[in-house]
Amino acid sequence: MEEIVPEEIIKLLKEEQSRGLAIKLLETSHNKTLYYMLIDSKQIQEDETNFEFE
Amino acid sequence: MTNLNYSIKQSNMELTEEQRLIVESNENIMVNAGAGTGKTATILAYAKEKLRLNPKAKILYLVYNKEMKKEADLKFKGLNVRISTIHAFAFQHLCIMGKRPYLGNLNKTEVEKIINKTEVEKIIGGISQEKFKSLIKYLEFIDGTDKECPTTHFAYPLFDKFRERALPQSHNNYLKEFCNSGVKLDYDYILLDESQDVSMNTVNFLESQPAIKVYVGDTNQAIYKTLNFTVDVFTILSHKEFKLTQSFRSSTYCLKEANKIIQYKLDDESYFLKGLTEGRTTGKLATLSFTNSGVFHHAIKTMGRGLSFYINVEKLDSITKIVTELENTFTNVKRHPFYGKFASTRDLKRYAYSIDDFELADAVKLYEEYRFNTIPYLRRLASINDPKSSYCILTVHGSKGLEFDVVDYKTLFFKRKDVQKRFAAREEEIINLVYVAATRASKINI
Repeated sequence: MEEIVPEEIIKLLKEEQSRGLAIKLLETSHNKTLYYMLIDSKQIQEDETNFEFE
Repeated sequence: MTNLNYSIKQSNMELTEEQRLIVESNENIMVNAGAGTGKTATILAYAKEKLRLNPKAKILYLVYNKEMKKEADLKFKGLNVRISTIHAFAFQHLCIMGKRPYLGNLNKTEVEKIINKTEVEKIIGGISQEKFKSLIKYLEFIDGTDKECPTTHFAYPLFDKFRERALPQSHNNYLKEFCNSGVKLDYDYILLDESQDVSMNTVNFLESQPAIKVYVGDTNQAIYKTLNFTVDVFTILSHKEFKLTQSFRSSTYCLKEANKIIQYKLDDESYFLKGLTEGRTTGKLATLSFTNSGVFHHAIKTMGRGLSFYINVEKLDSITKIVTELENTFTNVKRHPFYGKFASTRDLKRYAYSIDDFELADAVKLYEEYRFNTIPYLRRLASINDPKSSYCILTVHGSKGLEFDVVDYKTLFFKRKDVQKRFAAREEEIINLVYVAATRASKINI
């Protein structure tokens, strides 16, 4: 089984401000794996890490 | 050059300049290949070129594990190259020499009877089942490259039993026996994969061989030094080093994190991985965890959400055993001799963290969350596990060599306080582990 993540979603995920929109779009999608992955990652507070990737 | 181009065209491979220099070389070399930079394709092109120049050339390709052997068997199909894991190779040779290894699992109680328990406690701290595995690895290490273990060492009686075949040998134990046998192999080329994590015995053995050696690996992915006491060839040998930096897996965007980690580790901006405009599509997603208990914890959560997933069930039995012992101890059904020393799961968890037994700490955490339901849930995981699922929940160690479109390695791994602390302290192995995790995605890390 494959789950192809649409390029539009990948693009939305690249920007912090459009991440919320990606989550909203995924909430109504058929396969919810990526939706829950994003929900889990959101629950971790940003201040738990000192290493800045940007 | 013309001939080389011809052979490359024949095999439908377009080599980059970095790869071409490796394929054309004819001396002992080390190939430091970044994640996803076509390491196997380069080895394949190398072998093809040597066989084109001399069809009678004898080539041995030593791979890391059985999975890699299966993959290499397919890729090298039709080529006269002997492919084997180093352990299988050693095993077969010892059998030919009439010294068949005695394999099996070492029993903790039996080992404790033979060696000094106080000495063991001094070295590895606690004596939990997980730590027992560390002891065995430690014993393999101190047995290391010396031909004999000093008679004064506390582990000497144990090695005596190994030699007599009175106790089951570990894989590294018979590998050492083979490496010290003085045998000379009839090969023109020996190619060693995963050279960043090999035993010192293997390195010494290969260096004593007359063949041309090609060591391939990624120095930034050396993650078994502590667990298995391995060495990184790139830091101990001085053969000519080549680098592979063009990724055929990940997008430039996706590699930003990996490059940042490399810079953090090396403080050298000249070394970085070059990515693709768009990452390769695999149709797979993954969440990576630090421990096996963390994997199962997350899989139970995923099961509750009604999603399909793939987990490696190999470790399920050992974690179920720990949880069963925890449950028996803290419900006073049957107190475990070690866990029973602690008044509460909280105290045990604190102790586990203090001796860096993260697997035990996470197993306690798992039990604390699901209590009586933990064992039934763990049993259910095995029955609904779907190897064909597009969603993989794996440990970072277990994810090595694999790739996915989207990866979350932060929630269950990188953002853990213990990992953060070690990363901030610039512990090389934890930085490498973060690098391994950050290079699994082809499109995006979330």
